[in-house]
This record gives sequence, structure tokens and C-alpha cells, in this order.
Amino acid sequence: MLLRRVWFIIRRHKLEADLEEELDFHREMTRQRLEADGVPTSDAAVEARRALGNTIAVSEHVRDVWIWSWLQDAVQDIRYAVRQGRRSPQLASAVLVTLVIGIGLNAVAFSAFNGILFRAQVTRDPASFVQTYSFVTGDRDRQWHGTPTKGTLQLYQAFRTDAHTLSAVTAGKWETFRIRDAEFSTTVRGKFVSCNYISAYMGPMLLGRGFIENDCSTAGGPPVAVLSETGWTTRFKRDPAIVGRTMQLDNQFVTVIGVTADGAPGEPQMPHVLVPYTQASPEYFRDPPSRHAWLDLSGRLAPGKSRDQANAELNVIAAALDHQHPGRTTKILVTNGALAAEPRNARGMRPLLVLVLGAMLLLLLMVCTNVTTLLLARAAARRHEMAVRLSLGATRSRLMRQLLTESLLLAFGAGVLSLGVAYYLPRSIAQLLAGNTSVTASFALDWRVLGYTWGLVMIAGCAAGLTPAFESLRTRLGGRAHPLSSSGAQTTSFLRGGLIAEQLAISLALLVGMGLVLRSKDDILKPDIGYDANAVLVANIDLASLGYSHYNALAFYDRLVPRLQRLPGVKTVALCSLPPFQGQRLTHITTNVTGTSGVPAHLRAASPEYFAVTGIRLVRGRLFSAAESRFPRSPTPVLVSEFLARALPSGSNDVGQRFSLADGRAVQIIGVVSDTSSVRPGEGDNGVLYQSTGATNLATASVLMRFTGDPQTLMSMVRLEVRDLDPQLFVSPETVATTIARESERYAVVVKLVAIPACLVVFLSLVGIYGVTAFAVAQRRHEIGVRSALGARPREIVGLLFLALRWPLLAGLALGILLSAVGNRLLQQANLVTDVTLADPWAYGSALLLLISAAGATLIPALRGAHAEPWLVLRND
Amino acid sequence: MGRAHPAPDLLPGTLDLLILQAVGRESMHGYGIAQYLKTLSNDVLQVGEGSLYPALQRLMLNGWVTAEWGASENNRRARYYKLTATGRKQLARERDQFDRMVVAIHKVLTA
Repeated sequence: MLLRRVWFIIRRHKLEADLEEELDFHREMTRQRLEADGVPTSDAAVEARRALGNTIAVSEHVRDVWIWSWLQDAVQDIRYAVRQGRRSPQLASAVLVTLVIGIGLNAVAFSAFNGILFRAQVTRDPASFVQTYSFVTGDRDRQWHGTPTKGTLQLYQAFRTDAHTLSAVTAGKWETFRIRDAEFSTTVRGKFVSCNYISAYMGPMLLGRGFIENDCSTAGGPPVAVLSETGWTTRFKRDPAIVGRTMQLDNQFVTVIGVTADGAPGEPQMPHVLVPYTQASPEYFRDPPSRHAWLDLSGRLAPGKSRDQANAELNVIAAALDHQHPGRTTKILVTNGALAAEPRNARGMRPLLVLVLGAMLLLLLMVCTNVTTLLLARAAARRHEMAVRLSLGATRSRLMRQLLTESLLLAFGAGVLSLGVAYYLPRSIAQLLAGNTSVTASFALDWRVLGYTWGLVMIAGCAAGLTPAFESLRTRLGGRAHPLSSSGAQTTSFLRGGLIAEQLAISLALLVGMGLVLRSKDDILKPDIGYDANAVLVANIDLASLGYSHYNALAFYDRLVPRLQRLPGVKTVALCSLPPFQGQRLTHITTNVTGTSGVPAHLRAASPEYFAVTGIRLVRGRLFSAAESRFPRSPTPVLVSEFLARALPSGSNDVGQRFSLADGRAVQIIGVVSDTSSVRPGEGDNGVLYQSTGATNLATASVLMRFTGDPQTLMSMVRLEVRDLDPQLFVSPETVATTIARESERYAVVVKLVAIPACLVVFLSLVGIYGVTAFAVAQRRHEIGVRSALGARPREIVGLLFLALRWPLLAGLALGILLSAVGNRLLQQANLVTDVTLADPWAYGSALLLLISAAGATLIPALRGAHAEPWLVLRND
Repeated sequence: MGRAHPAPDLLPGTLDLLILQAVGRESMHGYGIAQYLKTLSNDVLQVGEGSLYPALQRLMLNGWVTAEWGASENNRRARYYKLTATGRKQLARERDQFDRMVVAIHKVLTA
């Protein structure tokens, strides 16, 4: 019937035209009859029209049949629902709050996903933004190198000159710059950009000027920089006199020429400082421009062009360039710049999405069960009212609609409130996540969020309201059961059991899932790295920016290391490049095996003491000699981690083997050392290639110290020793534990993010399981009364009630464990947990907690019922 | 459910019954139904169009009759109504009720 009605509303015009024609036909027939009866033609037409009456009135009546009464009923239902809500405000607000938690959390999660993943992170005109990714295959002579999906200089220039579908093509590369001020040096996130970058995405200029083409025309020249508003605010306190000032950026002095308004395409972060890409390190320009891919190429669509057209054209341009390199094929992918469209995200994103949204939906279902119990309790009380209405002639379907309107209205109210929550909360969360860097992700409520929330409202309204509505109507008129007795028709044990099982299963799955996530975050925050991170001090001594050469640095460390060694508490002093957890440098080891693009490895320079300090064992071969640690050798002596040794084709006789690195250097393996974790806290490093400190520029090295005692005192002493050798040097030593804490800050935020809903889930599931069980027991109050009147002892009654719970609880546990297993699998796929199994104390603990809650919910009313005077219980009926 | 605007001189619900009965024999257009009722009742039952067409729409909405366009006896396009299977059941039910009602009224009046 509803379908037909909707059909009518959709096809209204057609149906009304039909009616018009039909009435016309009727009039015509009447006229013909009148004429046949001898009425003159002119009078017949008038008479026919009179006989038919007011045509418009007729069609009005017809329309009423279809729409009006329906609408009237709906308005009536809504008015009735509002009245009901006003009559029991506690119940209505309890339901509302519970639903806001359920729907709100869902809407927030979706809105955050939507804002971060599915929308291009471009402040200005996202519609015309294009992001390109290049994929190179078949590069047989392995001349192409760089970062996958990035573009080469040649590609950038070709796009700029030949692409007519794009009105602007820009290049960019993220870089961490070290800004040195008078006292301290800080690191900032910045970007090397092409000179049209600011005009394409950012701007207007707040101070000074942006880049002009001249700034990008020659490699290395003029050293200028533009600050973003964020960078200007956070680093320079909006100093109005910043333009024209010179600052030291890494090893170079650059002049600030302007400050631009914020805006960053395709990134959730804002660069603080922008530098022409021609000033990037000379190594980027050393190779022929067709070989080295390091530029992030994006742009703007020309007016009237589509991304598909751009995709086609850019692929043609890339294919033309490929002709110069036989065998090489470059494919270009054009996207709208959304994170979800990024090729590397496409795979990892889906399990995460399924997981988070799935968990949220489970939470919503659990919330709905809670609401169902709340409403069920009332449904029992309302049977009386429904019985009266039924006997007065209301149809069951009509009453059903009315009851559903109530829960849908509550869900709708909750939905509106939730949209408010979804509007404000993601912003605060994003700020929390990003710390002091500003976030460009926009969390506006677009049609996706609105549609999703609307869907949730419908699900919640129906899920929560359907069972109670059926319960209210489970009244037989004129049957044996007294329709006016509130306990006359009991909730079936199946329904009760089902609710308990469902509540238990969902609660268990959510608790176990949340627990696993929180526990593995714990592993990341306090990871087992093979040594005590609190007992190793790191000092980054920036000799390079003071112009030290390798040999000057060698002389410097020859004096510093013995001094540090003599400090009280210091056990071992080591030198290395890239201290643990402070970044990574990737290289490839070229093997002679054809068809492979080389074995990837983290590259780190280390003195022989480094291994002792960080708890790495020598597996076979030997460590670096003193001479190797001081001077370059050819081939460069290297140590490989066991993981890397396994990945190399040489097998176990790897010591003595020679390979070459991505930069062309020849290396010789002198030993194999044990695996460790030094790149990302909580994760093994995979392959690490250690080269001797003699093979790198010692001026970029850092000092690592194993010590005992108070780190603060040692830090001051280290600072003094360093300044004593060179008063221009500033160091801020820290323990490796501090580095880990800083690096895993974002995980700490995730913990916070997970912890808040986790607390809610624990609370809701305990309350929910209690509520459902207590309701089930309350339904049997009458029976308990009768039994104790007949002489049953309290213990027997309690036993009986527990016995009735065994199947729902068992089914719930089984289903819960199944759901948890699925969840655990998804968690592992999404890389959110480090190997934890379901045989986890947390999982057992949460199951136990839920069972205790259910037991308590049974025990308390059961005891109360069992000890109550039977006549009191029965009189209540 | 559709609110009816039945002819005031008919018992409530009877119009639906009469229409169902009419289209139950063969498919008919609206004018045909009116004429049929009028003829068979010797001009007693004069169903106004203002009642007939809303009633037909209501029956259609309930799924008791379906409509189809066809050519009339004088070759004009006309909408023909036909009884459905559920309509037939409904007709039987309403007939039953009506009979009981008439018997009841008769008993009261002859008491």
C-alpha cells in the first residue's frame, strides 16, 4: 500500500491527467445520452457538466484518497508522539541521550572519515584541483629511481609546456627544515615548490610578495623563502617586520620575501615555509631530469576540462617521453586529491573503514537494544491502552505506524542533535591530532554526512521501536487472556533471550576490540626495543651547519668522545647518523638477480660502539675496525641486519659479498648483526644496512651514550662539554625514551580517541546487559510471586531464573567470540594491532565483567522477588 | 486509509460493495458502472461522479481493482476497471457483512 502511495506521488501528474481524461469521457457519454433522450445539443452539454458537478472538486477528492488522509495520519501520529514524550520526560530524555551517543559517535566517525579521506584537502576551489601519480614499469637498465608515484623534472616540464587540459601545473616536495635563530634551532615542516604554487593554491599575500618566475629559473639561485600564515604565526609570532629578514634554513641563509595566507593541496598539513624547488639539494639535479622522481605534481584544470580529459592527455605526454627510454612505461593517474584516492592508501584504507564504521554500527545496535529495553518496559504498561484502542476499532497496522512514529521521532531528534555533535567534534579532534600544526581538512556537513546520519536515524528508529511496538500490540481481544491485565501477555522467552544474547555478543565484541587496540598502543608507547630507552642519551650536534668538513668533525669527536667517556655515569659512547626513531633513509641494494628492482634497506652510519649501546648482537663476521670508522674505504664496509641478510640472494655465505647501492657506491658485507627496532616504535626495522662512520660525513653525525644515573645532570654536563669545544654549538640532548614519546605522540592521541568511546562502550554495555536481564526477570515477577506463594524457597527461585538465562548467555558468548575473531582479523589487516590473539586476559576479563553484570541483574530482582511477600506481588497485578 | 465521501443516501461502505460487485462481472469504465447501478436499481441508485471516482481510486489504492485503458463502445479512450483476486475476497467479505447487517436490521424492524 505504501509502495503504491509513493508510486502515486511520483507519477502524480500522469495519474491526474488520466483522471482528467476519464472525467471528460464521462461527461461526453452523459451528453450523448441526453441528446439521445431528445435534449437539444447545447443544453445537453450544460446538463452533462451539471450532472458531473465540479470537476476540480472531484479531482480534489481523488487526491485526498491518495495523499491527504495519509499526511493527516502522520501529523496526528507526530502530535501524539510529542504528547507521549511530554508525559514521560525522563524516559524520553533517557532514550534521547542514549541515541545521541549512538548516532552521534557514528556521525562523528563518518564525518571525520569523510573530511579527511574523501574530500580533496584544498582550501580554494577543490573542484578544479588535480593530483597526479606516476607509475614507472619496465625500466630494465634501472636508470629511473626515486620515490614511487612521484614525477621527474622532465615530466614536470613536459606537463607544463604540453598539457592544455591544465591551467596550472605545480611541483612540490615536503622537507623538514632546521631554522636557526639566535639561541635555539627548531625544525619546521616546509616545502620546496614551483614558483606558481602560491598563486595556484594559496594566497592572497598578507605581506611582501610571492614567488616570481625568476625565483625558479636557475638552480641554487636567489635564496628566498615565503612563510605561510601558520608558519608566520607559530614561529615568528606574526612579526610584521619579517619581510626582508634573513634566516638560516639548514645550511643556507635565505631572505623572507613574503607571507601568504594558508592553503595546501592534497595534504592534511600546512607547510610553514616555502622555498623555490630550484634550491633543493644539488643531488636532485645531478641526474638527468628523466631519471630521478622526487616531485609531487599537481595542478588546476583548465576551464571546461574534466579530470578524465586531463588523465588521457597526461598519459599521452608521458608516453611520448617514454620513447626516449626503450622499455620504460609511465602511467599517470589523475585524482581529485582526496587521501582515499591516493594509490598507497587504497588498500590499507578499506579494512580500517570497515572496522571503524562496523564497530560504530555495532555500538549503534547496542544502543538500540538499550533503548528497546527502555521502551519494552513501557510497552508492557501500554498494552492496556492499545487494547482499548483496538477495541475502539483502530487497526493494528495503524497503531503500529503510530508506535513506530514515536521511536522514529525520538531517533530523528537524536539525529539532529548528533549532527551538531558531528559538526563540532571532528574539528576539536583534528586539532588534538595535529597538535600545533594546523589542519586543512574540512569537516563541513555535506550530503554524504547528512545521508549517512539520516540512514542511521532510520535504522535506530526502527531497530529500537519495532520490538516494543509489536509487544504493545500483542493483545488478543476477546481471547482468554484478560486484555486489561498488564502481565496478561508475557514477553516471549525467545524475545527476552534474543535481546540478552544480542546485547552480550555486541558488548563482548566491542570490548574485546577496543581492548586489543588499547593494548597494542601500549606496546607502541612503551615498546620493547631490546635495551633500556631511558638509559641511552642522544645528542644531535649540528656541525655541518657551522661548516665542519668530515675531517674537522673527526678532530672534533676525537676530543669530545674521550671527554664524554670520562663523565660520571657514562658507560659507552657511540657515533651514528640518524639516531634511533629520528627518521629514516632508504636505499636499495642492487643485486645481480634480474627482474628485481633491488632490495630495500634502511641506511645508517654507525661506529662499532653503536651496536653495544643499542643492544645489537654480532651474529657472524666482524664489526668495523677503528680505521674503517675514521676514513672512507672502497668498497665501503657494511654490516647487514639478519632480516636484510635473508633478503639478499647470497644465502648464508654473505660475509665478503659485494653489492652496489642505489647511489652507485660499491659495498662489501663484513658481518651480520641481529635485528632491532630503530625506525618506528613498536615495529621491527626489516632490513638495515650499517655503513662505517668513515664512509659518511661525520659532521652530520649524532652522539649516543649508554649511562647510569640522572639524565638531567648528564644532559647539562654534555651541553657544557660541547660548548667548551665550540662555543657556537648548541645541543639539546634527550634520552631515546623521550624521542619515542615524541614520535609516538600521534599514537597517544589515537589512544585518547579510542579511550573515550571505549569508556562509553564499557558503560553502555554494562548498563545495557543489566537493563536487558533485569527486564527479563521483571517480566516474571508475577510467576515468582505465584511460586513463592506455593512454597518455593528463595534459593530455588534464584536457581530457576539463572537456569533460564543459560542459553541466551551461551549464545551471546559464542556470537561475541565469533564477532571478536572477525574484528581481530580486520584489526590486524588494518595494522592497528601488533600481534595479539584472542587468548588475551583482556578478552577473558571483559567477558567475565559482562557475565557478572548479567548475574547481578538477575540476582538482585530475583532475590527481591523471592523474599517479597507473595500477596504483595500478586496484589500489584 | 482513504476517507470516503459516499453518497449520503447509501449505507456507509455500500458504494464500495456495489462497485466491486459491478466490476466483478466484467471490466467496466466509470460511466458504465454508474449506468449499470442506475439501470439495475431502476434509477434508485444514482451514484454521483464526485463519489464514484474517489471510491474507484480508493479501491485501486487498496489493490482491490486494477485499471486499464481501452477503447469504449463509441471508440473513445476509456479506463476500464477490473476486479483483482484480493478484490474478490474483499467482495465476499463485504457481502457477508452486508447480509448480516440487513438481516439484523430486518429483525429489529420486524420485531
